[in-house]
Amino acid sequence: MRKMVPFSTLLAVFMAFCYFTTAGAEKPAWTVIQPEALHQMLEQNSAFTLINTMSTIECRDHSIPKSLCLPCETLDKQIGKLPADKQGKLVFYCESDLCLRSYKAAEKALKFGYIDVSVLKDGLPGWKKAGYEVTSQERIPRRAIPSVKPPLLKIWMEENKSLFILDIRSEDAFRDSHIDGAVNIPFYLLDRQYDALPLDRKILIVDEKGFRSFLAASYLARKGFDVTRLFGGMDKWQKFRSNAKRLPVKK
Amino acid sequence: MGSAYHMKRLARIIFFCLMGAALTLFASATGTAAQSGVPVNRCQTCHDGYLYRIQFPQSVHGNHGCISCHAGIIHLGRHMTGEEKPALAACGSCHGETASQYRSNFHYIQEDFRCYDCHRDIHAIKPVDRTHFKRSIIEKCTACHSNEEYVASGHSEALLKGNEDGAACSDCHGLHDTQVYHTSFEKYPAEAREFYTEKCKRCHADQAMMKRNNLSAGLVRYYEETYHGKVQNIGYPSRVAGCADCHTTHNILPKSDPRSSIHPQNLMENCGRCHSGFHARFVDYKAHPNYRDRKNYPSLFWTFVLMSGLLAFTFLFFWIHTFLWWRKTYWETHRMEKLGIRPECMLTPEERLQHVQRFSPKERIMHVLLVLSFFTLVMTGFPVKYPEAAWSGILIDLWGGAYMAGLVHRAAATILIAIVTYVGWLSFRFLFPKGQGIKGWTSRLLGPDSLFPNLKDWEDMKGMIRWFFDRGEMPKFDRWTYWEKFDFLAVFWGMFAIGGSGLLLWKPEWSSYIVPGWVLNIAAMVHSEEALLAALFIFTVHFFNTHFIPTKFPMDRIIFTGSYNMEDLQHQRPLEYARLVEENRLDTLKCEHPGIPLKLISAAFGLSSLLLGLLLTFLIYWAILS
Repeated sequence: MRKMVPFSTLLAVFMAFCYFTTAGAEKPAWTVIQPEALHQMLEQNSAFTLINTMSTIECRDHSIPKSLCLPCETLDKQIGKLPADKQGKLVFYCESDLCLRSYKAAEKALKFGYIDVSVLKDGLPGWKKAGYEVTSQERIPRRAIPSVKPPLLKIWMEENKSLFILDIRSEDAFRDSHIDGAVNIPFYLLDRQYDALPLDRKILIVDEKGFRSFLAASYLARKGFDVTRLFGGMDKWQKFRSNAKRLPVKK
Repeated sequence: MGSAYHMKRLARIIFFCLMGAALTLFASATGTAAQSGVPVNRCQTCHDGYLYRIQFPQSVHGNHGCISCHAGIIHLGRHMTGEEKPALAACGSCHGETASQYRSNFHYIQEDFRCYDCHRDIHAIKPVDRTHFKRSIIEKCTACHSNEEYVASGHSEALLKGNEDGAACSDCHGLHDTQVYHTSFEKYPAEAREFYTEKCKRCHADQAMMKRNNLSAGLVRYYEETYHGKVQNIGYPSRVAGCADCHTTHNILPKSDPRSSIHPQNLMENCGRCHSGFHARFVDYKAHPNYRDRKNYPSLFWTFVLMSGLLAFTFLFFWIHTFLWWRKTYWETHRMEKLGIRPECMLTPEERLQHVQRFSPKERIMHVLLVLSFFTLVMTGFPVKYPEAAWSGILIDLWGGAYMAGLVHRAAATILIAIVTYVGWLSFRFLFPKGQGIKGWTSRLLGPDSLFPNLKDWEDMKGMIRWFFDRGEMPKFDRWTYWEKFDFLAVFWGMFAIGGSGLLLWKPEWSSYIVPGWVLNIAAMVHSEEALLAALFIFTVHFFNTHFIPTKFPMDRIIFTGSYNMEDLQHQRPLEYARLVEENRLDTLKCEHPGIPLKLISAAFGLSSLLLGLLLTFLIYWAILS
């Protein structure tokens, strides 16, 4: 019986090892590519397609050289823009190391039958942190856009301040949860639908984490809208709301 | 003839080719000349606003031509028709250092800000006004970051009143190297906490700056003396509070301000951000107390005095005692060796070699467990006690970080508490054996088999001291000597002090239901000082008394083998021997000579423990002295 114990432990460890290795193999079929490797591929003029999965506004503002602008949300409709050869290499990237857009796009590409699909590690910030340059086709002049933090927004909402809350997240994210009274125009549609926005009110732009609203705000400010943005985006807002509920009662 | 004609034609072709090449070269040369030579006034024929005509020449870049920054215009005509556009201004070609710092800037990484996105007035930019430098930074940052909290803070108030010591945005966030880890995303809690705490310390540990602003320069040091500060300094900031966790980031206000996070009314909420399930008394904990300050922290001050006194008295007495003992034994051994005297023995050779049991297997196992748990406690606790020592980081990493070390520390403490509880039970059973009850407990307590001190110990101690100075014979001991009794009882005192304080600190939130928060400050100090006392006492006094004394050097294996021969018994414990003979109990204690495996294991375990103890002593002295 005593000898059984080490034997069974060994067996358990072995089985766990088998399980994890097979589970690891089943996971994503797309690979992660480091900025250095991507840079080398660009330098060597390797045959591959580099896809910026952000909105066209962001993509044209600045992106990695030789990028194709193809917002993640429109990938299904615009799949024809990708090379017809399903063997060709695709590399997707998005605007932050926290965004899931490039992963989603990679999954979609796999579904369409592409085999060699990669996602750039840490997205565009990872590329810049590695010290590589970006190019811009149509740079949006940065404006001094003041931001609003959640506590102030709460006060504004309680005061019924005349405010138009514009949520630029994807339709799905908006459906999951949004600030009361917010209107959804996803960033990738903003260049086509901005004319529906009101000119007589302040527009508060809300995004996922506060990374994208600045550029959207600069874009709209250039069109003559009175804009501000929510600092930290929906993430910060939700954290603020849950903290407000969790806080212990004051003495 | 034909060949001459061909030669001429070839020469002509070569001539024209060369001419063509020269012309092309010349044209391109004039082209580049045109590029570097487009004068400012040519640009101003079109770009003729007030900004370019009047303000730019007066600006700090006024002595540069347009194309020093706006490179890429080769042909004015093509530029005018919009075919040629200048490249983005490369400020880094002159401002190289700033540009390289800016590569890690959050604004560049995330939002692709370029120099001119902050330096908007780039064409009219004036030299930096050093007297109002910080104010201009605030103006620049608040154009986007409308931070009402900062504007209300003490930093901003001082600064706007003209005190350049006040912290502007750049003092904490960096100017051109604003870091990417932003606490709001909670993605880099450790890096952010370390980064920002470092920024706070840079000013608040500056003696001169704090003095001229009438602030305490010691706060940083006092914080570093607390658990929060120590764990942070050892390199594990992710689980302890840094400055900004309690004082918040921008809304830094004095305690008296009701909006301040450290205002008494807000303390529950403030501590509650990390701690949960505590009593309101919890917030009485002092985050950076000065224990040297008798007026403001009397309880801590007197605890410190008491603990220091205890340490000083204990070590003074025992170190002198040990030294004198060693001196006497060494001299005595030397004298006997020189004269060839062997200690006299009345026993027959067989009797001399007969082994007698001193420690039961149970007691020996307990000592091994005690050794293991004690070393574990010292090696997990002392890195936190001396976080700045060169070795503490290495030691804590060996355990897999501060959190793991904390778990191991608690596990070892549990073993130690279990042992001491069991010994307490054994002592109780010794005093009140089954069947006899309470009857005669005083004689058992003060009897020769008891570990409780009695009058004879006092006499023994005086006798030993007389013996140290050659003023008498070495006293005759019974089963336990007075220093062994001290060792034994010290564990109980230690468990009361170190175990009690340790239990309070184990889960400080729960402790707040028993004691107010300031008791935790005292507990932390007692725990730390008592740990030093315990460790140094074991490594310097116990080790020397029991193992390194010349008669036993390098070690006495008896605590692991359990028995010694009758000659040793008669020599070291003459009264016990006499008593055992008289009571006819000697035969019951006789046992087999320990085997080689037991001896080997005992020696290996014992010697490695001794060496480890000496190493740790060295590390502790190193930490104290450096």
